[in-house]
Amino acid sequence: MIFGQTRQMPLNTFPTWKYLMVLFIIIIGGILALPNIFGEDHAIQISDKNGNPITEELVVNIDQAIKDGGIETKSFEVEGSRGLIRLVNPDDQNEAKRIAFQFVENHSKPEIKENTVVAVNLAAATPKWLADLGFDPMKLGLDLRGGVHFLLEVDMDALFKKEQERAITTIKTTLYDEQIYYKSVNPRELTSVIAQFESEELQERAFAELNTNALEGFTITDRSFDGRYELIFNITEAKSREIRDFAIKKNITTLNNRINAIGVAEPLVQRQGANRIIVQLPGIQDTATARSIIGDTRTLEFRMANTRRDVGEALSGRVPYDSELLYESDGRPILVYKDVMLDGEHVTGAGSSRDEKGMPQINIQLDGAGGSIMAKESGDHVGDVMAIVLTEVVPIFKKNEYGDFVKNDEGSLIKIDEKINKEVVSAATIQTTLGRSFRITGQFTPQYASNLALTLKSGSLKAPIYIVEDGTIGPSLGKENVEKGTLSILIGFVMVLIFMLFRYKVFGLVANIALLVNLVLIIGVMSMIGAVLTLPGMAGILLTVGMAVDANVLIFERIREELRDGMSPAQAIHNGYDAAFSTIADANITTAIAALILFAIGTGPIAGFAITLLFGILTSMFTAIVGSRALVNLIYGGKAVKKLAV
Amino acid sequence: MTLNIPFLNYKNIAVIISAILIIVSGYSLFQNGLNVGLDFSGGTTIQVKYDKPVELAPIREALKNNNLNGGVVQFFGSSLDVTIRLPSDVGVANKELDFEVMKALKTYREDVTKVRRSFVGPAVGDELKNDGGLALLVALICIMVYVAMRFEWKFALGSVAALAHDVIIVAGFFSVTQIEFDLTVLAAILAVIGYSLNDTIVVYDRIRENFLKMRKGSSIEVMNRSLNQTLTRTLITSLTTLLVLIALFYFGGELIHGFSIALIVGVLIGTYSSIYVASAAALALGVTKEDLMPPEVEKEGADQDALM
Repeated sequence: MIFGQTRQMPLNTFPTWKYLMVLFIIIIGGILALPNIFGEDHAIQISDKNGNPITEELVVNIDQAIKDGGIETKSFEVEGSRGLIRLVNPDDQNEAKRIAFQFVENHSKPEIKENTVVAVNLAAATPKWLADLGFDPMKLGLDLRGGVHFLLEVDMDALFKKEQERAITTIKTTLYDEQIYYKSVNPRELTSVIAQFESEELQERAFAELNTNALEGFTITDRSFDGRYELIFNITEAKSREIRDFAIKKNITTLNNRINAIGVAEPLVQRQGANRIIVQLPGIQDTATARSIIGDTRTLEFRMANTRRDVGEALSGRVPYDSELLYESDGRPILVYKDVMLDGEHVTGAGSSRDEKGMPQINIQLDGAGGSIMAKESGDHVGDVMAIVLTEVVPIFKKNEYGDFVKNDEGSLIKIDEKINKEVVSAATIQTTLGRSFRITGQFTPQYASNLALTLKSGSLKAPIYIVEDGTIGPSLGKENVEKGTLSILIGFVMVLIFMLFRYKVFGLVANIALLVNLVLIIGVMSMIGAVLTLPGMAGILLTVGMAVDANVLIFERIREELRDGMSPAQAIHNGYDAAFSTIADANITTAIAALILFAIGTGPIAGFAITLLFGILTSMFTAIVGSRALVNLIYGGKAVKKLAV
Repeated sequence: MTLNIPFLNYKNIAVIISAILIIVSGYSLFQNGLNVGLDFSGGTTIQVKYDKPVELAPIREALKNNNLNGGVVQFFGSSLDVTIRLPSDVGVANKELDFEVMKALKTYREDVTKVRRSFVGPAVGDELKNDGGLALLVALICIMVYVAMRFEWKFALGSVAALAHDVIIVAGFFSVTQIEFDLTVLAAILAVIGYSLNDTIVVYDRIRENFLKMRKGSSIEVMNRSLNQTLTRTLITSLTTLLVLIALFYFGGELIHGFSIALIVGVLIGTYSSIYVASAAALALGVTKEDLMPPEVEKEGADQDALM
């Protein structure tokens, strides 16, 4: 009981704010769910494979070309690097794509011909005012839309082995430089290195040396027994996490670039777990095409810039035979020697920080061997400019007139060419002889510094990926799944509504309204968080519908009981809701625990099921306890009720 | 209309029924195992569609003639749709596998189109087996801790006994019938855990309430009373859930058949187990009124504040 209450509310009435809150939540949920009723338009998507903006002029011209081809278009829009032309008739999509692809192929400007990608898309037909407010419909999962999916695994073992090799080289070089004699330095398991010494004295000196001149990312422990003196180096938890994270990040970036280049509408590239990446390509129907996108070709090189010759001269076509003309990220041309001074594989780490004057700087660490090369080369070139060159090889496959890939008899793509993209990510003057660890300073922003550090680090990481799972789902199966899912939800829903009305009369009507609101709220919440709707997700919605009535059943049965025990109708309603509350809470919390665990451990479809179940539990608790109570209060509250229709 | 069925007086019969079900399930799981789907075993599934009805024997023949051995060929819902499941080590590189299969199928009939294909590496399968088991285990433990906190450890044991009972029997059902056990079935079993628990908690909640309210009466009388009071609710909720599950089974399509069957069996078993297994187990463990008395009985609903 609450003491000190001065004003007693009549039984079964809510204060006005509570009604308003319920109304407010329902309206918000309704608006969030609204975009889902408009369906989708078949559209042609025009995008730039490097993520550069698309000009409105290009989209207007393609739109005109499609119209000239006798195809009706609904509208077009340009948004950043993507342009969309919506079609009136879905059957025209292929022909429209052919026209668009031919238009781009025959474009007079080479940069448009090379960089523009044409793809078919299903675009949400949400009205512009709603979309402008940031409200979008639920995305359909691959099983409902059709397409290809891949589960890729990054080969972390290879990375750890590399890290181990680096450690071994560094340990050996350091010991050699300090004239500490060792018996052996060997890898042990995947994450540690073991060094053996003849005497305790050597072991101690080595420990002191390697501990201060720290071997970054490793812990050192000493161990002596039976006249054996050993040092054991283990990769730290932080370092191994860092290795994983960077390998994943780098692969995701590469994959995103590749996928943009082939033009897929709304692709999904996402990390999953410690070392997996999930790729979903809606609309693509064959895994061979998608497989060819995967495969890493980024390399990093340290080279000297050729400052003896004039860049202007090179720009006019006279490039010295030993050099090549490259461009920096901001587009400035630079002449670079072809000879590679140091391979990027020697980079062990890179980070950004600020120097003494507070200017951003990039810190680079090399392995032992890299350090020696750098020391010698930089010593010879003090005062010269060193360039860091990033190279990416992109294969080009044969396409047909629709812009689709052509395959040979074995089912593989036909590679006709490859495009090599080279970029100078950094050019800086060498001030002094550099060692294993050095820094780059200059006039740049902290953002630039951290981006460059990431590029250096990821460019140096060779992380092979392989496919552990892939699959295709035909577009007709996707459509069939949507229809079946919707139909079964509808039928199940109607059966429950009829039953509740039959069993609980007025209260049943209340429960049904609560159930409808619940469905709207689930869809609203899922649209808001951008959840992807899958077939198991639909099953999850349906299951919550079945279970959502449970809370109301509990309450109504309790009310009936209270009435049988001789309570007045008003008191029965009050007691019914009160007594059922802790039961409902307990029951739902335990189910929520199960759903949470499913979400945490499960992947793909299971996670989709879990998330709908989880939100279903939350929204159904709200609608059953607060929502239905508000309605019951409005109907029966504050009146002298003789009989309840329950 | 007040029901008064002395449920727990028949608990010996229930013990026998449950024991038989569990033994049959356990034996079948041990002997036949589960017909695990691609999600767990690894391999390739290709679903194809024919324009006209087709027979399976020539399809198997065609595959064999093209050195695609060890596959399982089944109808998928109709005599037009066929799924072909091939193990991971079929001998053809995965990259070309679907191409090879389609080529082989075309040697028999030309009117075939590929609808769906999925490949799962054996490593993923192994991982799923472990993770799936782990998910079940973690879920059980978390739930037990929560119930022990909100009620009492005897109830926690009772509820988990009921859950284990349900999970074993549903899995046993899949083992006996040899219906394919895939990822969606695993999800369904986890949903069964949630559902059965929901039921059990509702009953326990009422038992606790009655222990505190009914001054007289033995444990078994209080429990019988509670079961009767919650019976209509238990049956109605099961009924509404079954209604939607049946809709899902009949109209949801082949892909979620396993899911809906698992849940239908689970809901039936779960309803039974929350009446008999959960309560009978708590009773067998000797739940008494004192166990449920809050340490300081001061005000009504004191035990509810923790949640608010």
